[in-house]
Amino acid sequence: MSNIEKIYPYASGDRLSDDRNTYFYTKFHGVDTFSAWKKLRGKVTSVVGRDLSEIFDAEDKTPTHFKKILEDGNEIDTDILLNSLNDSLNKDVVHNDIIFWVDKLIKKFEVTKRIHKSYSSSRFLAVNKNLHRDLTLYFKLAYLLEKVYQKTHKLPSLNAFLKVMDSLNSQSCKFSKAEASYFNYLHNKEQIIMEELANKMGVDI
Amino acid sequence: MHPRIMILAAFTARTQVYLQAIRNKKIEIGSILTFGEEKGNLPGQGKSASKKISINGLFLPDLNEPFNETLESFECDQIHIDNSDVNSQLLIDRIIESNPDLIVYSGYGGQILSSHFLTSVPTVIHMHSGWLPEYRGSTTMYYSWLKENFVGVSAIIMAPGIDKGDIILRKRYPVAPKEVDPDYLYDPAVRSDTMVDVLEYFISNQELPKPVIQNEDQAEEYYVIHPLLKHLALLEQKKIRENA
Repeated sequence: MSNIEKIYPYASGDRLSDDRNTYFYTKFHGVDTFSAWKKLRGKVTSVVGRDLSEIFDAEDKTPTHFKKILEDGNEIDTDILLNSLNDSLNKDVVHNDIIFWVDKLIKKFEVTKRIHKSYSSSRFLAVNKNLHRDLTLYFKLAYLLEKVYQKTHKLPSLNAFLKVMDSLNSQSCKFSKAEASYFNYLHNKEQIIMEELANKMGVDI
Repeated sequence: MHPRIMILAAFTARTQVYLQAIRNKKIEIGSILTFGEEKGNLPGQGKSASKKISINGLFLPDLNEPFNETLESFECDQIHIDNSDVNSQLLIDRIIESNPDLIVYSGYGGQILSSHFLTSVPTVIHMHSGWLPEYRGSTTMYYSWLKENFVGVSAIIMAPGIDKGDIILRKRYPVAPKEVDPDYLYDPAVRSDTMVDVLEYFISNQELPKPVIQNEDQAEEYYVIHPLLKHLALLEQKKIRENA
């Protein structure tokens, strides 16, 4: 493990395997933490960033009422849910249905550090625990969390966004060229948010 | 009659701080039930070096004092169970045998008391380091620090659901001074300050302060803080102190 990875170990290894981040009692490394974070993210991003909105399905394929997702069957398809949320976020203010589903996804990701292909509609449990390696779902979730944070400034969205980015960063050796450019796009957003927050607090990062 | 207070104690820095704060205030407790291993590696079992100091009237303990030495300084009943699972039937049975009037919970991080536990034993109180109901969940000290520049503690009666119990006392504190470890020292220190207030009230009045139901509309759930956000809070505090 390099010195940078010792300071910022959260994006190294395979964080979608059993070696998941817990973030319990993380160590203080001062401002070096931010340079380590930028360097590790920067290793991936030699390509130009590309907006992820193109990976979401067009609006006519997605349900418009989120509560209907529950009524439609026994399983919630995560991809459909993410498409639906994106569609709604593009059109509407952040209404209660969006918050309801985003909170559910945040909780699920925070507890498991994974996004599964589908969840049971009754208790929102992963239908198949082995199906959690579809990076597209992680990209979509990161994109939505960033968007929700920009609209609401709720820290749980930002917190989860940073963690999803760590998980994605840990998969960077498997990225296609397109995925690397999506990651770059998201990291630019991540960096802007952190710099804005740091400026507001008078901290140089 | 003096009420029988039990401290349900994991081997953590928090328990160490709770016990030293109780000793410092000369509060008489009935029993200490320790569970798990003293040198385990469950969340909360790290340590931070500390000096025995007080900041703004807040008691800060000596974490260099060995755990056993802290325990030995109490003359109350002491029970130990090797099992670190707080919901084990053995532990519940020991509590029932001991028959306390009130239990102060200081467990390992990430453990949730089962409904069976809560319905089997007398009233359990917990000190949550967050202003409830606005700051529910984990590491909320840092979130209120980032958002509103304060640290809150809410004393609650344990109930099913995370941090959803009725509130019996809430207190606000300044954010952690830069010379004090926020996780292992300041967080348990502010919790223990609120705890001793609750215990003194309980002993004087033979009952807890009047419980207040949490307003669900104000509730926000937080999860373990990302290290970048935690660093922003800590670096901001460092900068404020340096400029002072």
